[in-house]
Amino acid sequence: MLKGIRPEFDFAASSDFIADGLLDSFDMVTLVADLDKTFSISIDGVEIVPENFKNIETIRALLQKHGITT
Amino acid sequence: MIPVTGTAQIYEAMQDVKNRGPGFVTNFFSTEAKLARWVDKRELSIAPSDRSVILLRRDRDFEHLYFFASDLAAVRAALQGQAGWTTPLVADLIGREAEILESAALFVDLGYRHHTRLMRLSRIGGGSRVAPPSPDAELALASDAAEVLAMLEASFDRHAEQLPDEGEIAAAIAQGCILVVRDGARLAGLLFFERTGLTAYVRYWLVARAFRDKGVGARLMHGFFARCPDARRFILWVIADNENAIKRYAHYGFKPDGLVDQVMIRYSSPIQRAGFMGEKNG
Ligand SMILES: CC(C)(COP(=O)(O)OP(=O)(O)OC[C@H]1O[C@@H](n2cnc3c(N)ncnc32)[C@H](O)[C@@H]1OP(=O)(O)O)[C@@H](O)C(=O)NCCC(=O)NCCS
Repeated sequence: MLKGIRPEFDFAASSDFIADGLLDSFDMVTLVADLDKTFSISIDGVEIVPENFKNIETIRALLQKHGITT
Repeated sequence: MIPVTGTAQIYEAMQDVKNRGPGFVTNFFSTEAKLARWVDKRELSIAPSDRSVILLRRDRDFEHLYFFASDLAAVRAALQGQAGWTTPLVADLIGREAEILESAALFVDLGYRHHTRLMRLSRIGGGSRVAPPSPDAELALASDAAEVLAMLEASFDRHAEQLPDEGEIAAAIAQGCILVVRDGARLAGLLFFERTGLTAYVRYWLVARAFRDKGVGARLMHGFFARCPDARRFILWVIADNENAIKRYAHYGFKPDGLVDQVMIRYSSPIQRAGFMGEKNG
């Protein structure tokens, strides 16, 4: 999923996407839109915080909250 | 409005709005470091209310307006209550085109005008694609800060392009993030960039009018790529109708990535508006 959005990055190699420059605060907004569309979910504005997009694990946990297992 | 004395004040007010939930809308995308600097410089004031927080940041002769709210209705309520503000206000509405239509309509309703629009361009993959021209651009010196600031202020739109102050320029020079090309004692051009991990941001690329179309811009751009050998992604924001720059960015592999920043402005009187007209980019 992330690879599709940002194919240039090796997300698996990073434990902090924001600090490593893989995602910035603007990307979080577009990523949310893409996740919503791909998984037919609706991530709340409240959930759009860096903690939830820090790495693969935190994104997976966020998706799980919306009933998606990846 | 209450003066902001610490970043916690802002985060707590934001958290209050989020706790009331369920939704959350904002136009605030600053990094923690930037926020801390604004607080230190006492540029911020805040108006927290039930379902929204309005944050103002003083910048030269106007203020940037940021909102965090449960929804746009709460933004409307908060801003209607502040109709008596006298400084010009600038609000950046950031997102994909379709996502900002509603908030732009709201701001028009509240007396704001469409000022300009920026779009984000990105370039994927590192390295310069052609051999760098010689001679190379050089790093700016501490003594260049005032001239860099004067050039930026003369050429860019202060309402739309988040112009730095001299302190920020001095810090960027100290970090080796401003490249220059000299013509004797003056600057012919400059490129101001930022790095975060694998991403590099072009903040300003500027060549003095008399030196344009002579390869100065190219020397700066190649110098920039050469100084970011490990960057995997390059990003910048450009005024959407700046065709002269956009075609050059395209030449270097930058493409629109879908994010736009609709800049809205509200003058408190027609006289004020007249005073702010007649200024333009590049
Ligand atoms: C944008 C600006 C910095 C360009 O500087 P410049 O010195 O005129 O640029 P150059 O002539 O060196 O051209 C830069 C590159 O664009 C290429 N180029 C020139 N004309 C071009 C065109 N019509 N289409 C595509 N590429 C073009 C050049 O060949 C060069 O590429 P190279 O490295 O492969 O040789 C300058 O016009 C400027 O200061 N404009 C005002 C400020 C601004 O708009 N800045 C950008 C927004 S941040």
